[in-house]
Amino acid sequence: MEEPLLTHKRATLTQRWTDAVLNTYPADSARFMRRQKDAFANPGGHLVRQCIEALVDALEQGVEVAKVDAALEGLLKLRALQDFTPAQAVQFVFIAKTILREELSLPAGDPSWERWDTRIDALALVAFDVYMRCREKVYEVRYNQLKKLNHVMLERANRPATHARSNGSSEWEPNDRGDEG
Amino acid sequence: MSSDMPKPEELARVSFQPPESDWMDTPVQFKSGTYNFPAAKKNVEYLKMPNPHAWAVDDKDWMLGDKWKEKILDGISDRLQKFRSFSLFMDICVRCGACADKCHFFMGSGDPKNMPVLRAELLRSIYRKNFTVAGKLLGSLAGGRELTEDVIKEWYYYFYQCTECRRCSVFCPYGIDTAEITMIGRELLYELGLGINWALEPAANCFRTGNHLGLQPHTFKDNIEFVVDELETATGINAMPSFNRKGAEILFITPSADVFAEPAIYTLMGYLLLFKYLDLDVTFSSYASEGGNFGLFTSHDTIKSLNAKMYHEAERLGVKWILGGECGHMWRVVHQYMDTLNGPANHLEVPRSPITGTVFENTRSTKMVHICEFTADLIKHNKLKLDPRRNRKVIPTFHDSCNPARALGLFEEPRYILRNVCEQFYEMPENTIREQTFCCAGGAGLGNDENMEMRLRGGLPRGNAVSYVRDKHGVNMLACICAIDKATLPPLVEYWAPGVGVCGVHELLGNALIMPGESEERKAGKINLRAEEDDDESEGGGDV
Amino acid sequence: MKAVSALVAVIVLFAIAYMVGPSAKFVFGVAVPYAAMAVFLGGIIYRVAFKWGKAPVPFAIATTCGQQKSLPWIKHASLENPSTTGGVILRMAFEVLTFRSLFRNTRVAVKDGPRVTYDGEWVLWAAAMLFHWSFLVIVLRHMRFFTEPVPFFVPLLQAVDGFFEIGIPALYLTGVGLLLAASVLFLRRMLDAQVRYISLMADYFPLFLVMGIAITGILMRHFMKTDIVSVKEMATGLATFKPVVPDGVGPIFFAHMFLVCVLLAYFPFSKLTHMAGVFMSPTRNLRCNSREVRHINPWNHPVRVHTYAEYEDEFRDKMIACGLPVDKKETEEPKKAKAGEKKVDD
Repeated sequence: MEEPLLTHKRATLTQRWTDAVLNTYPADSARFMRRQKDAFANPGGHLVRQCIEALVDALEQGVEVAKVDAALEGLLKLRALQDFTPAQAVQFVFIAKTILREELSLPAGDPSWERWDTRIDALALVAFDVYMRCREKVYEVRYNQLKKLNHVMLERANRPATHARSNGSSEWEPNDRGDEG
Repeated sequence: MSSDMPKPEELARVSFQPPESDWMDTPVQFKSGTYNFPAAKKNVEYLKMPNPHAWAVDDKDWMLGDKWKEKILDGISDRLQKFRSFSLFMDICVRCGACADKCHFFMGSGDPKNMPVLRAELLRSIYRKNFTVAGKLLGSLAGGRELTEDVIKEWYYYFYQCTECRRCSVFCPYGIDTAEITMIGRELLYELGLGINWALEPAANCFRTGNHLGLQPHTFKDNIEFVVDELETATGINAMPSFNRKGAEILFITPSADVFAEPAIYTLMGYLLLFKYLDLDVTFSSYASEGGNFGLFTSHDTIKSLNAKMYHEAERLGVKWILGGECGHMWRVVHQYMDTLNGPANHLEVPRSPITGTVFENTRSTKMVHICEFTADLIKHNKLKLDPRRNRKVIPTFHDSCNPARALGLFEEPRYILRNVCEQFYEMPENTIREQTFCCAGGAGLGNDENMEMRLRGGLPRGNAVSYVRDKHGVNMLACICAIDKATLPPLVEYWAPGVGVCGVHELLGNALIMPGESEERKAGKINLRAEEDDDESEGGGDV
Repeated sequence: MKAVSALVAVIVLFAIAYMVGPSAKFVFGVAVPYAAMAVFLGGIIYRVAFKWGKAPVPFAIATTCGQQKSLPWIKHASLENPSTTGGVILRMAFEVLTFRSLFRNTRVAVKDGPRVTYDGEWVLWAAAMLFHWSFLVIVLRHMRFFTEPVPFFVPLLQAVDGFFEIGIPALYLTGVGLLLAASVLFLRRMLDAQVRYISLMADYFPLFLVMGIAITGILMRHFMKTDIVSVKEMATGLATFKPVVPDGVGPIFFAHMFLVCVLLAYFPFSKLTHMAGVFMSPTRNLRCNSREVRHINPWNHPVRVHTYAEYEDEFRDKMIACGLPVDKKETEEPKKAKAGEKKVDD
């Protein structure tokens, strides 16, 4: 057979891969993420399932960067915020290699291994990109928030004063935070 | 891969799995981006709170001071006698776990100590050990544990990882309210001089200047004048309000973010247009220039101290009643604390709309009306000429802010306004709105910059629901009635649901209001309050 | 581990009563029941009237779960956001009789896939309902032992409870129900990692205790019969303060009664006080009309405030300069320092 499809192993692979991701969380949280199926009551678990489904598609049908990027973004957006190092955050992609070797009964020298490995490596490379993008986004978001919170001050500072008295801030102490309602 | 190499899966597990130790024996670890900076010494001193000292979260020694244990235990004992809620909630939890997965921080962080039940157990375990017979005799067997410095650090971390949103209390069979426990936990920490600056500095500023940012009277006025100028540019209308005017019928108090932060200033523009349209006899105050009350995130005494300005100023100016702007926690204070703490406001009259004659019976004692109640009444009585087409590019959904939802039940008024000022309106899934609404994850003093990663984690459930309606209905605007939301939701949607904006309900009202004397451009619906121009004549077809 | 210690504790208690009971009839048949009842009543009264009851409710902190009562044309959720005492009573009734808040957990929804799934929280609500209602019916049924004449509703309950007439005497559904519900609640604690993580020994112990009571009760009725007439004689004696311990009472009865006594005595010092506490919860039992009617806080003490006069004293010049109205036209220099709040940075 030219292209050994995952068809009959697909469900197992998806399940094991999903579990592998969930197992990177504390046992109690993983249990919740596994059990609660509602996408709104358990957004984290939902993101994991969505992402892995898409990654399995990519393994089967070939890696389309745009599709894979979108799928990985869903999950990595969350993992980029959690207590993971960058390596820990994306490592779940490589786990597929282990699972495939255990699940597909192909001899070690089979040429199709090269294709699986190449695809998984491609997924991993996209994952690095996405992870970095998410981290950068965090800092961009922080920067934008500072701008928005001081909108009037910044705008007033940048335009010729219409009121001679205004100096644009309180004279008491520089208030670096504490500016919401 | 050679056989002695660990499999990736195993590597992952080694590094990720937390120790399988009991939660009581797992000390807290502070990671940058997930905690709040300590309250500056000057602010603790200014508010005359105990043990002011300079310290940092990553210091080993937090300098809790002499007899700190006694202070905490005395503090607990005192509050057990003053708050039935606290006394009761320490005893009756059966740990059924119904609340466990209701917290946005738990959902986003996966940290078990973010389960509301466990957040409360952090304090309950100390209570049991020191105040119950079983705990004294049996110790950890009865769920008690020793009060140590690690416990204090853990409290600091987790009581400032709760936004007091009260979502868990909706699901608890005994109505146990984690916000009560968090509030008291924070008070206890203040006994040792431990607090967060993002809550305490606004409180100190507010005490002195009347508002969170510390805007002095002239700066406060200048800021509003700036917004008035911008508004005139966008609409051709000068809607300059009056300040500190004695004899006005109504005192208007709104969160001060409305006068300096984006997008809150556009909500202020909406109010100003509405007041101008109605020719309302209303005044702003530079003294009571803050609707918000960061005392709610600090201590009960601070709530009272800051809130006192509202009635004090209303009495001095001789107004008849108070109108309040869009804000979340301000309305929890107004609805559930103000009258009790600083009332009765016998110098005021029962609020009556001068336009429609409606008497706001539900505010008979407190005498303060929510702007959404006021506006909904106006629309119902056909007192406003509205052109929803001017908002045709806006497809809003409504984010119920925690406090108006779970402390007031203000659900229909803002929705009624939205439906009247916009052509379309879509709800998010039912388990994410109304009394089940998800928090912005930045309330209760946590909306600061240093805590951004924790906020974004906690923002996942809300962001997830927003992106769902964005994809399903093309929603591009998240309308809300809370100043903290207007500050914290923009980063949240920017991260989780890009392409969606954030606005106040009265910003959209301001867009739709047909004002006498407005510019031709506005008349044609080509410019909105943000001065965003739109030359596209086609209906609703424009991209956003 | 916590579960095991709890189980061992209950087994030890059972064994003590089973073995020692018949030879120390007065202790286990009279002294312990009276003592347990006294501890129970005293403990609950202390808890409700002194500990909780003495602590005031300083603020109206109701959790609102529906539309507020505001404008007359907006439909008010009078049950979820009650503004009257009647509404509060109804809200509490739903809370106490149907566990309404717990029920909020349970929903049927179309999830990720095409399948409709039920989330696990149905189990919690259903088991809790079965547990508590069975318990109530069982307690009421037992009144036939303590009262003479037996109140009319007791035989009625017995008839309904034994409706299916399985076995002779008829198996009571509530007995089985209680045992089943307690087992489900126990299994949930063990199997749900989340709930296991938060569970204490104090969560397992009462479950095992109740199971022990149910099991000994069922055993006594169906398998290890004891002389029912003697039991009734003894129970009536206790209730009328003329205690007697007749001879026909078997060891299983002593075990059953002793476990009940332990439960009674343990009750006021444990989470079981939720039975009384639920009625006192301020997020549920208050009217939500706190802007309409002022809620009184008995310890509302004065606090430091920053008055308008102090504010104006500090900022008067600036206010005058920018055209804000002021109460006093001139700054009085000496007063400023005294009345103005101490500056932080000086």
